Formats: sequence, C-alpha cells, structure tokens
Amino acid sequence: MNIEDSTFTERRKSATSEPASILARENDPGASQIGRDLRVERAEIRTEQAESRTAQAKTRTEQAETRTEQAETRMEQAETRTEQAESRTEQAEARTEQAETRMEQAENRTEQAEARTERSEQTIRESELRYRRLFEAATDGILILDVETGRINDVNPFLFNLLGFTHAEMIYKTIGDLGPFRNVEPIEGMLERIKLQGIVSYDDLSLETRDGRRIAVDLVSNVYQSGDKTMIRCNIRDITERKRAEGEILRLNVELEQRVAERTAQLQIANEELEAFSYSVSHDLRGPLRHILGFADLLKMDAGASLSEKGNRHLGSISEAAERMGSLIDDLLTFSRVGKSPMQKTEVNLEELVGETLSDFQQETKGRTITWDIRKLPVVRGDRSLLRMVLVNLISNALKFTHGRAHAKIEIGHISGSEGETVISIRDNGAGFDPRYANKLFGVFQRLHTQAEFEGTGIGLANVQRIIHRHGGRAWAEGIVDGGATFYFSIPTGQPPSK
Amino acid sequence: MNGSIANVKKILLVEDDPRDVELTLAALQEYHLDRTVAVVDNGAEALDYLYRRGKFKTRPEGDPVVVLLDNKMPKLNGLEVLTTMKTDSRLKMIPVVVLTSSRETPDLLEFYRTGCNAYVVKPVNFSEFINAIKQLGVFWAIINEVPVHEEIEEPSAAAAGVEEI
Repeated sequence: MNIEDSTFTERRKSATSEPASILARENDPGASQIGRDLRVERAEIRTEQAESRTAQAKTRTEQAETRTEQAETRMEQAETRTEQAESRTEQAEARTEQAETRMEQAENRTEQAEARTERSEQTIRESELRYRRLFEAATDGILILDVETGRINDVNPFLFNLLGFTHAEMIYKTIGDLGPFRNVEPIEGMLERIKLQGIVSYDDLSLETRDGRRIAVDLVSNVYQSGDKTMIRCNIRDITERKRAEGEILRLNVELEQRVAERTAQLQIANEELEAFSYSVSHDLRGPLRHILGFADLLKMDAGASLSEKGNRHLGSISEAAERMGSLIDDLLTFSRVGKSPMQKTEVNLEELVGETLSDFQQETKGRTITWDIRKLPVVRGDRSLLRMVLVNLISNALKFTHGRAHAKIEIGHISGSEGETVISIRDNGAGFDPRYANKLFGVFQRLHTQAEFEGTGIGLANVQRIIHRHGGRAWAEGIVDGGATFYFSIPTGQPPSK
Repeated sequence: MNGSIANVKKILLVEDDPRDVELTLAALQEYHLDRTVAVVDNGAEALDYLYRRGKFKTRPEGDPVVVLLDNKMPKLNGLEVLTTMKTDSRLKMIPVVVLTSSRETPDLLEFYRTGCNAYVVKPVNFSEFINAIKQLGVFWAIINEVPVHEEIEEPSAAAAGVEEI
C-alpha cells in the first residue's frame, strides 16, 4: 500500500511540471495557430491523460478504499479476535491461578502429611522406647518366645534375676532347657495349645530357682504378631510374697478366731463367776445380815429393859449398820439385774412416763414448795420399765438435793442434741456438785456428799448410766457447788418405730 | 383355830441354818404355831421325815400341812426335795412354800416349774421377816384346807429312787 502511495505521488509531480512549458510556448506570436492547435491537442491529450489518470486515481482510490475497508474489516476481525484471545487469556490465567492454588494446597497437604509421618515415626520410636523401658523395668517377668522353635528371644531383667540366671544364659534356649521350668508341661505341648487357643495360663506354678529356692508364680502366655513373625509372650508374676501374705492372713485369722474363742470362753467364765458372785451376794450375804438384825431385835425384846441406855444405843447402831448393808446388797443386786435383764423395747412416751413417775413422789413431796416445769417431751424407743427407773432416780435425786431449798425448782426438758439422738435434761436448783468430780457421779457407790448431808448408797446414777448405755445413749451432768445440777441423758433415735 | 395343840396340824421346816430356824420359830411363836413345827436341817432328812423312814421311822402318822423349804442346803437342796415330792403321788398333795434368800429369777422360775405353791424371799429386816413368817403360818397351817386322802403305807417307787441320790 505504501508503495502504491509513493508511485502516485511521483506521477502527480510530473503532471504539475507540464503546464509551465505550455505557458512558455504561448508567448511565441509566429507560430500562433499551429501552435494553438498543437497546444489544444496536447491539452486534450493531457486532459485525457489527466482524466485517465484521474480515473485511474479514482479506481486506485476506490481500490484503496476497498482495501482500506477490507483492512478495516480485517482490523475489526483482528480486534475481535484479539478480544477473544484476551478473554481466553484471562480465563486461562484464572485457571492457572486456580491450578496454582490447588497446587499450593496439595503442597501444604503433602507437608502436613510429611509432618504427620515424621511425628508418627517419632511416636513409634517413643513407643518402642517406652515398651523397652517397661520391659526392662517391669516387676513381672516377661519372656518372648519364638512360636515355632519355642526358643527364648528375649527375657527381661526381672525374670532372669528372679530365676538366678543371666540374660545370656537364657537367650536362645527353650524353656524346657532351663531348670526352673523343667516340671512345667513339655514345651511342645504348651506350644501346641497356645497355637490352638492363643493363650495358655498356669496358676500358682512352683518354680525352683537356680539356688534352689521355691517360688510361686502365675504364668500367662499369649500369642502376638510382630511384623510377619508370630511370637509368644509369657508374663510371669511372682506371687510368692502374695501367697506368703495370704498364708499369714489365714494364720492370723485362725489365730484371731482362736483368741476370740479363748476370750469369749474367758468372758463366759467371768460372766458365770459374776453370776455366781451375785447369787452368793444375794443368798449368802443376806442370810447373816438377817441373823444380825433378827437377833439384835430379839435381844432388844428380851433384854432391852435391863440394858443401859448406852447398851441400847449400841444395839441400835448394830441394827442400823446391818440395815444399811442390806440396802447396799439390794442396790448391788438391782444394779446387776439392770445390766442383765433382757430389754423389751417399745415406743415410750416420755411425757406420759414423767407424769406417771411424778405421781409416785406425791407423798414424798408433801409440804414442800416445789415448782415443776415439765416441757414437751418426745416419744423414744426403749424399755419402759428401765427408762422409768432412770426417771425415778433422776427425779428422786433432784428432790433429795433441793431439800434444803425453801423454794425448789425442777425443770424437765428436751434439748436438741446431736443428730440421731434425743436428749432429756433434768435441772434443779439444789446443792449441785463440784464439777471436778463430775466423772465420779456415775460410779457404783460413788457419793459426793456425806451420808449426814444426803442419804443414799450411791447406786442410783450408776443404774441410770447402765440403763442409758444399754439403750446406746449417753448420760452426763453439769453443776456447780450450791448452784444446782443438770443431768442429761440421750436416747438414739436412729431406729424407725416398728410398732 | 381349834385351840387344842394336838389338833393343830404339823408344819415341816427344812432349814440348815440353826439361826434361821430360831428366828423362824420366834416368828411362829405368836400364834403358838412354833410348837407344831418339825424341823430337819437338810433335804435328805426332809424326805426321811416325809416317808417315815430312818430316824423318823417311828414318828406318828400323818403328813405336814405345809413344808417350809429352804433351798441352799448340804446334800439334797430344796429344789431336789421338791422335785422328789412332786413326782410322788402322795407327797405332791402337800403344799410347799420355798423360803429362801435368793431373789434370783432363774431359781424362782425353776421352783414354780417344779410345782412349788409359793416362793418367799426372807426379808432381811426382822419385823418384816416376822410378819412374813406369821402370815405364812396362819395361812397354810390354819386357813388353808388340806385334801383328805387315803394313807399309803408302802413307800412309793419314787421314794425308793431317792435313797440312791
């Protein structure tokens, strides 16, 4: 196209130079006509030529336009193609990106997988190490045998030490070769059974160590797969100490039972002796007392008149002393009975029982100013007659020790004790007691006051305590000298009422 | 009361302790019952008396209206005497009052099981003792009627067995 353009331009140049020569010839007057014709001809030719050239130019122009159009079309097409190409390129790029992302992800995964592999390899190494340590440090014997040959592949220190061998002495031997296992069933049999059942165990096997000691073991063999090899693992537990301990326990139990039996027999004898004693007290001591009293009375009847006043006083002292001894004996017998008599437990309404008991004291309290303060009392489970004895003792004590008070106050109440028990209190404003001797109050024949101050044998509180103890409760007291006393007793409430 | 001593029926007191015998007799004295009391000091003699044998072979015929029986005695004790009496068709008709120092429940039950008619614990206090014995004497020797039965001359089989004990 450029070439065509340059040709066209040169022709235009030559065409421009022609008219100038024509103008020069017109200036010649001699040759005017001929010249004019010539010139016209020439002009016409030139015109024709020009026209032809114009036509040619036109054609060329047209051609050029056509070519231009074609070129434009081609350009457009090219652009379109370019655009398409670009779009395809973009898509390709996008795909490439995606592919790259996927590749990255794949690489990541690969890395992770590698990391995992590494870790699991480490875990395996650690596990092996741990197993090895367990194997080495186990306090059970471990024996690894080849299932085909029955030879020892490995043995842990515990076992070879236990049997008195070295590792080297045991390795690659069959267990039948080793002294300690000689009496266990033949290795072939064991191998056969273990192949069949997967496990073989022996309880309380007696093995002889190299130095001739007998040890007791439990042996368990089982099959396991190690890679492509089948192995037998025997666990051997030394139960010598356990058996010794069991034996010891058995021996101690027998001994204990024997001791219990002996003790029971001794207690039975002691109990029988006590029975005999109490019988003897009941029968043999009361006899002579009856005689002393009887003959003192007979003497008084027969010779009282002829005796001096002093003589009669002595006779009176003999009777008094004998009577007091009689009371002591009776009290002791009561105390013994309180401990022995079978208990008949029922629901006992303490409020009713207190009311009943108080009516017994009406005669005794006649003429005295006493303020009774009886609070609401619960129902407990116990032996009615024994509990009545407790109340009689405590109320009679309160009355006795408030005797010197112009206005006695006796309060019977119910306080909340610790869980599972009912606590009853009996408070008085009487003579009280020295709290230092509070622990002596409940002893048999223990008295904190002289006979002249307050009479009594000192058995009452011992009975109270014995009865309360038999009910599974406690008895205690608080008091100060001249400041009154409070006696407490508790009865367990644990048992739900059954009647 | 018939007033005549001869008609007052006999009481047999089986008691080994002479002091108890004396006190018991003193208690019975008030109604003159002491004069009708036969005293033996052990169980074997009590049975000899009841069967009219040994040193009692010659005693007048007739059973006591009541036996006051101590328990703790040498040779045969009270319970053994009672057991023998209650297995003898004739002697088992005689009321037996156990007069003892023992308040022990097992003793008491054993005596009643064997067939005693009363069980009395001797009071330590003398006036109570006197009172108790007097009441016993009056009730058993005077108030209580005894069954009339045919005399059996032959010693029973039970009595023959007793001698071996």
